[in-house]
Amino acid sequence: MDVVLQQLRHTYAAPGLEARTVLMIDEWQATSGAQILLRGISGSGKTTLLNILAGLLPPTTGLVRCGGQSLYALPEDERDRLRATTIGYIFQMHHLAPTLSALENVEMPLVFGRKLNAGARRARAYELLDSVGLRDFHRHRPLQLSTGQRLRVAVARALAAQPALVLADEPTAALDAESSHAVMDLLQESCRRTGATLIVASHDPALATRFDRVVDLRNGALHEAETL
Amino acid sequence: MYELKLAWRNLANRPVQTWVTLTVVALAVALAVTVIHLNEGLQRGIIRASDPFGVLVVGAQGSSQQLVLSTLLLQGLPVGNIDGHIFEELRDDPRVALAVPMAMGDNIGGARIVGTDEHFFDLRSSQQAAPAFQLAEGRIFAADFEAVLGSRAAVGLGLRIGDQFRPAHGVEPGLEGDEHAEVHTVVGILQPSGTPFDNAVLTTVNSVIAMHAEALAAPDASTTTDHAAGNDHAAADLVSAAETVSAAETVSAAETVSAAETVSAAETVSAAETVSAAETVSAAEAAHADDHAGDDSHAHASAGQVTAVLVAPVGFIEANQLWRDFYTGAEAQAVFPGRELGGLFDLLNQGQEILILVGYLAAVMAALTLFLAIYSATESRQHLLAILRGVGARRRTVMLVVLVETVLVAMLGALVGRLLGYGAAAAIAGEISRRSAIPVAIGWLPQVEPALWLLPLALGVLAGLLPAWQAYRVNVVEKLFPS
Repeated sequence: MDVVLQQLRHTYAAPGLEARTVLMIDEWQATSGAQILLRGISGSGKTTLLNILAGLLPPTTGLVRCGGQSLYALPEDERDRLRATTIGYIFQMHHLAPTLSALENVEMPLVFGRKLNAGARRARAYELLDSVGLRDFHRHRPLQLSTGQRLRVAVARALAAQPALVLADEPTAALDAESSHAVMDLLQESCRRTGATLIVASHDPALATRFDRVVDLRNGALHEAETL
Repeated sequence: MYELKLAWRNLANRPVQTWVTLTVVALAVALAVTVIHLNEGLQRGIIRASDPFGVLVVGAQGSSQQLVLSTLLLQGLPVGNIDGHIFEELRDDPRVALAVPMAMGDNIGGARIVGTDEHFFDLRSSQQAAPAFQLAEGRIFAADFEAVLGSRAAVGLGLRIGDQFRPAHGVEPGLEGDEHAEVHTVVGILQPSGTPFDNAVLTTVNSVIAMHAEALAAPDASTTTDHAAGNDHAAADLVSAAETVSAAETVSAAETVSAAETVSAAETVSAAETVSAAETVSAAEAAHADDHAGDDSHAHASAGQVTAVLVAPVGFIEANQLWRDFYTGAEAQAVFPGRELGGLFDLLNQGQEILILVGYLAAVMAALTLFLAIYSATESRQHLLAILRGVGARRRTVMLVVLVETVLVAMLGALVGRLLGYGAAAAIAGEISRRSAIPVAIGWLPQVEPALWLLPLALGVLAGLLPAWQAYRVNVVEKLFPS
């Protein structure tokens, strides 16, 4: 899925506080199937940009096109449906549902997307847990898993619906190098296989070598970086 | 339904809160179920218990309701006694199909002793129906001091055909040794009738009169309390019959007692002996001595007094005529049991209405508790709801999850409350049946079922509306990315 941003501005305003514009992107584009590393220091606006791309946060002004469709021209219900079917999002804090098992967490977008029947959903969820090495932990609740295991469940959940756009916010922040590589391998391989566009926000310098396109977010604007 | 699964998981995740809320709802429902079913069961039990006893009850003037309660349901003390000639006149009245004398006596092991005649066993709920009181074994009494036991009385007292017993003083189980001298012999046991007479002992009217003649003639501490005070039971009023009798009659009665005691001491009592002892019961009865050898218990009853007469008129018009006759007379009153029980049911219904009001208050409290529980849970679960939204759940999905939660608690509460309510109603009904022998059956009431389900459902939805609205409005970005 190709992504286009035009004249995007996002400003945080709160009573008693000075308004702060965190995103000022005139024109930016990601072609379908691209794998992009989005870098930037903490507070630079990486998560805000991912939230906007996920359809969770309407920008103050500007246009966001995903797959040729203006994302925020769609009704909210439709954007919700897109998150369940077309856009996979790996949150920085994983945000797994604590009352559900690992398997049920992975199943969640499939339920909300209503693409598969119960049996097919379950089979797909098992397959994904298997691919992240957590099949034996399918009954575990998030609190019974380690940070790395939780991240892997979150990755499996984001890939469950075979989305056309995968967004990952600091996916390797809490992982050691080996686990970090394993997770990134899984993400990138899966996206390559399905042709999905992958945008990973991270300030981990080690990741830069894995991407053919790296973008720096500085002072609210996106700058193409040299890749190795 | 995925919302149901999520709601269930949320409830299971905070078990204490869920159980407390569910219990409050269950108690409110249980209260309503208990009150409604008990009231209904009691009314049906009373109707069933009073069903076989004819259309009119004739008894002493006073509380008409008490006359019905004491005569048909064996509850409380009789109003008083009436002269035997009233029974005779009714028996001979062409407008009367059946007249049955009733003389309320003392007790044996808590089973009420009732003096009557063989026509008692002809009582039936309708002309087409089988007799309400049929023998399971033995025969009906043919002489004084012969007894036919109700089914429960036989089991409770552990008595069989041919066994002998001596009644105790008063209408409640008394102290050991507080017994009449007359030895009664069990000659028959009834099949269960579903009436308080299952826990009664039936004998002749004369047997009851004789016991009270004894009590008057030889008062001791207990009989002074039971009989001379005259406030224990109306059978004591039978003594008032004796009070109008001469001293010689009293002596005669005392002689009877000693005769019976002698027999008792020798433990060689036979039915024939008992009959012969009874033949000397009173001076009035002496005039009918020849009748004792036969089977004319009408004569015995009419010789003294009776507590009441059960009357089955030949038709509706005759019933009203008879009622009017007594209404305009001064000797006794005639009452329609149905009308008196209707008055009793009105009282019961008033009590039920008050308890139902309490039930409504309990329901409101339950709804508020449910609201508070779900509201606070929704507040603390905003993060979870935001996660659901973050992975594609629509606003109405998370709203539905919260609504399903409240409805689930309400309906589970209704189910548990139903079980508790039925259990409590059955336990209380059992206790009432045990104490009063009125068969209080707790049954399924389809007419109240919709309300008992719909009310908790409505309360669940009502209590869940605001929390559901909160869930609908949850700000995903704010909750998932608080910084």
